[in-house]
Amino acid sequence: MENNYNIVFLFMLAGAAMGLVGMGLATLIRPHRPNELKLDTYECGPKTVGKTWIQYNFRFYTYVLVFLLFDIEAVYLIPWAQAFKHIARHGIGDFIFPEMAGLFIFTEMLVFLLILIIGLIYAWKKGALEWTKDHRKIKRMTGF
Amino acid sequence: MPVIYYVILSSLLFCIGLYGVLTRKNAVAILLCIEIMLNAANLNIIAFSRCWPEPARGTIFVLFVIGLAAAEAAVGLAIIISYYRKSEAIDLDNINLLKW
Amino acid sequence: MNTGLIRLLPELVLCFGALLIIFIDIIYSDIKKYWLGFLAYGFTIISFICLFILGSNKTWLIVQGSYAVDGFSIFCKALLLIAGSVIILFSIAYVYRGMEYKAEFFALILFSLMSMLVLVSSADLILILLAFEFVSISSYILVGYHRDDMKSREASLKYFFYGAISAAILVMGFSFLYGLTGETNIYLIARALGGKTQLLIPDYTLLALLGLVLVGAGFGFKIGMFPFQMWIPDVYEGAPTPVTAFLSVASKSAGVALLLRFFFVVFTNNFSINWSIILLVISIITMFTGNLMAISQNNIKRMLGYSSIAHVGYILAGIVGIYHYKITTGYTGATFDVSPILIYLTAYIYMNLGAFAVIILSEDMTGDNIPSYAGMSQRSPLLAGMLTIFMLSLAGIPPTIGFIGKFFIFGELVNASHYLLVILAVINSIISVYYYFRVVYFMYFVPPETEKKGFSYSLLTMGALWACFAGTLFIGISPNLFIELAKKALIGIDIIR
Repeated sequence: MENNYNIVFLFMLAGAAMGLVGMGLATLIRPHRPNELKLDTYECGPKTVGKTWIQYNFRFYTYVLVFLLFDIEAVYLIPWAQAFKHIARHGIGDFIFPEMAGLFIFTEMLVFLLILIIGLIYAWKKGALEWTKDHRKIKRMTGF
Repeated sequence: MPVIYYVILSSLLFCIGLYGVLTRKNAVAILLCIEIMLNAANLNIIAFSRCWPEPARGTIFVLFVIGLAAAEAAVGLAIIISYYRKSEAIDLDNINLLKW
Repeated sequence: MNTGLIRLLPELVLCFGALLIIFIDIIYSDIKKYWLGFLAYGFTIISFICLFILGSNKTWLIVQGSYAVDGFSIFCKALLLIAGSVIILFSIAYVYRGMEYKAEFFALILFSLMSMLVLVSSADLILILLAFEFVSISSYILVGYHRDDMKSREASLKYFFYGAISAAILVMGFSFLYGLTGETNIYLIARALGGKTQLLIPDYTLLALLGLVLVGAGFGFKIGMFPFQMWIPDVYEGAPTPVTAFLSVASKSAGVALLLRFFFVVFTNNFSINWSIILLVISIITMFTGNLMAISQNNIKRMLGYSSIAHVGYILAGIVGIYHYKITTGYTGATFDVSPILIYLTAYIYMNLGAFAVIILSEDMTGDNIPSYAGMSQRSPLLAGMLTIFMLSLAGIPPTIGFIGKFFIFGELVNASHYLLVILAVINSIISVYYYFRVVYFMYFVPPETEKKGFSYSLLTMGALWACFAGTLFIGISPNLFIELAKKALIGIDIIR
């Protein structure tokens, strides 16, 4: 067990060394003549415009929330899938119909998904999925 | 590696989060510190789960905690935004309407 | 079908009700919203009936042992459902008068109520955590429901931060308990801590103490015990009044029930750390904090917030008494009689709900400040009289239910020969008389500043008020039947053998 981590550590050292050695050598060899243009922030050739701290549109927030719904749903599918595998093989002890166990577990997940889908329908009906330019509508949706 | 290293690490993380919660003034920064605390606990659970014959239990515990943290962050951000909308500030020093 | 799953019916009914309300609101968006309120009320009643039909004294451990349905949990669920249905009755008129998102309010109340029902009978760390957070998250939204009111938002923000921190602390505590025992089921954890199965390290004191303290802190936030009580007055003042009632009654009772089950199951059998000493000190400080801070309050919701902290102090004292009685008598049976706490909780629910009902009814006319209750006895003799009865009950004066509650808690303390704690608790009760009667004083002996017209009653809220009033007086006068019920609600300690 400990050997594995030592190897990882060695790889990290080697990786860091590759970069550092190259840059260090270059610093020693290269000529050093800075001017204003050279020290400027590089952005694809043209001069930089505006600040790097820009404000994203607020409407992304509702999108992210709806995304989160299904993002987290996937997390809960994993334990369910594991349990499904186990139960499909071994069954549950106090089940009346052991052969129906798989169907039962499947229905349980469907119920879970149904609840999530009601949430999605709610968000949809309330207009969270629309990228509207109508400012009154935006105000109603987000409050801004 | 013995589990105690992980426990020390996660306890440190937890304390860092708690320190941040107690000292930070920015609402979003406090939210991040709370996430650090939750993830410290996650790390703890995962580390402990390797010591037991059935590690899946700990793993699932962590999955649920992750989901919970996400739900909490979603609602929390909504509340912070709703506050920001009127007061134009997320500095907790300004939250002083209710006291004593 | 899994045979035990039918025991989940009350919770499922509430969940279905909440989803149905949201669904109806989406499909028929022009429906009169108070119908949704009545629907929510109907679902709490159906849930109550299901609970009643399924009620038995047997202990059922369902869903792989992670859900305990026993006398204790059924009693607590009945209490919570009563509180929830009464609060829905309050809020129908309140929500209808001036709130956005009316349908979601009822759905959130139902969701929150459902998770409280899950909370009181969950017996697995994961389930406890999920239910705990579910209660909190729906409450954060409910507290900030007055979106144009700066106080409401601020309360919501504060509640969110305190709640989130408490959740993080709770998870950390659970992680230590899990790591020590390798189990997430509280009965199995209790067995492992009792020395029946192998632990991670043989000398478990440090890890167990960490788990105990962190979990206690997490639960303490929810019920508002001493070092974690700061959020209570702020949140109670800022939240919409029905939500304040909901938090102070239902949320707190669920927290106390959870604390009872968790501590009595996990940390009692052969557990070497005597946590009741810590709890003893905390309960004394909690009582004094609540009562002393309540004296100077002018806002009645805030005053009731501090008074609820004091009530938590009495409840914690009762827990100490029960635990000590067990230690001193060397009791090692399989069940715990927590009836004093349950009786106190019931008393607390009835009288607090009643007081909040009066506040809701008079809020439009008078506002929240205690001095503005001046002359209420002339403007509305009925409300003034009722509020007087509820204040008597909160102060613990016979013949009200509050007296019965205090009587049993103090009796338990005397049983455990904790005379000092009894004396301190009685001193606190005397302090509390001052600020409860300050309200009565303003209502009866101070003339109103200006001539104001009478009150307009909402019929539903009046109905709820009468129900609380009847409960407060009826149980106060003839408590026997009710005490019988509470005595049957035992916590089983060692269910899995």
